[in-house]
Amino acid sequence: MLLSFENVFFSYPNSEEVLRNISFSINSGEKVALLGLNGAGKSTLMLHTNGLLIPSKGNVCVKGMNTKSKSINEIRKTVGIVFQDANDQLFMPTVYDDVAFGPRNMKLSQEEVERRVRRALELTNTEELAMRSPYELSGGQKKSVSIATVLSMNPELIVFDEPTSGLDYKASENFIEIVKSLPQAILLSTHDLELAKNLCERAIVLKNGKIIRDSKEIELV
Amino acid sequence: MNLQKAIIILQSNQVSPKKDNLILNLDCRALILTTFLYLISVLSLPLYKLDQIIWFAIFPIVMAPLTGESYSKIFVKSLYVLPFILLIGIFNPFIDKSEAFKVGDWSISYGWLSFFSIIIRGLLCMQALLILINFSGFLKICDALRSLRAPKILTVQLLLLYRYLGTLLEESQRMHNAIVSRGYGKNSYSIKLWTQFVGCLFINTIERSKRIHRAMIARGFDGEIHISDFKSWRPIDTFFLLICLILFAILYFVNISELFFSTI
Repeated sequence: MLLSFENVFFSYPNSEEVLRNISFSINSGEKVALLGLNGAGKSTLMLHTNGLLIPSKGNVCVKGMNTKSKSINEIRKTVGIVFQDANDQLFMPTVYDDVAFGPRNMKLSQEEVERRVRRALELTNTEELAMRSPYELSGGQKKSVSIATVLSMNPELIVFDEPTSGLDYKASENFIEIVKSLPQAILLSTHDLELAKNLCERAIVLKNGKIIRDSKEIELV
Repeated sequence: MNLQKAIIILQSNQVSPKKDNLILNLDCRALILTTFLYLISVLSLPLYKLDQIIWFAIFPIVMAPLTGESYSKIFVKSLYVLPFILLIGIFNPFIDKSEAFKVGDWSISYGWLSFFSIIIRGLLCMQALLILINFSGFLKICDALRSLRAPKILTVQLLLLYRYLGTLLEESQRMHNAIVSRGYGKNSYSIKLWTQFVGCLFINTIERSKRIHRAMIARGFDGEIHISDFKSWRPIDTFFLLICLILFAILYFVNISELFFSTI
């Protein structure tokens, strides 16, 4: 089991519970959609997957490692998050440095960093952007580079938060092609049912912080 | 438009230029140490040795073109800090009125000497720092500082401050665009609106900074940004450092102006 949520509750300071008794698990290579309306708790749930938020009650485990434990670096190597707004994800002076940010933090050798960056840029068709500033890129390009920044860390689970919001049809198609080619497990938060059907084999539906459906029949969802 | 320009300048100052001459191929640490020695030399000269300080301009005048920018541009950029330097020395002429020397009937006080000395020192130091940033980019300087065993807390503060500047400018530009697009040609607003603008700007940048920080942590950020793979220190780096050290020592211990005028 790659990721498991066990009776997870969460509330922000001075507010109501955002997540209520969440339990589910994801296996290696599985592609899961997380569906729900605005405010359902999707983004909060996503931030729990690699320990950016810690449950108020319950446990989140990645390959058996609890996010409350000291193995948080190992957890973050295993779970990569692509955030909703690519502008938040890209903060380095060049695309190359941004994609190399994770591998460098993992203290890999220069050769390995170089190899991973090239590979990630190849997979996302952004090799020609390597030396450009992220600030100069279009929305679609930024999204592709954001995915590359996570792919370079070679995670086993990639979490996407509203990946196609703000993208045009062509950029969305490009995103779908990239994600389809990935062997990793995926947790995809979206409003877009078509996108979920296209990419995922299972859907979890959240409402008011609770799971109301967990099904392999996305058509029914 | 000015905000856009500022963002582009800030972005370009983050990265180092393409290496295409001997100086640009030097190890960043060599230039950091040289700049450090330069700052110490310039700042530790006695305050009234104006004729000696002026010769320290040789360093920025020679180095600026070697790092790809003309000295005049570096000089103009250094003028941005002039108001702050003026504030430091502005009271000297009023406090120290004792006569230093006379030019014709004009009596020049030590106060005026120290005032000009502070201005020249401030500008020269700023120019040396601008040249250092031109040489390697801000992020690489911080990385090199870490490899020179500078405290982590200092380099992280510098990095985050620099990153926050970018965020602040980007958010200002977004909010400015929002105001202009709904302003119907109106271009002056009340102080009340500007205070609200500043308040919102602060909240927006803090929120954005939180999101960026979260994205950094998600990719293993541990307080250090690793940019470069430092090559081993080469003989050319030592040679450069030594040449500069000798130059600064000569400028510091020998009053060239005195020598020059006594020869004449």
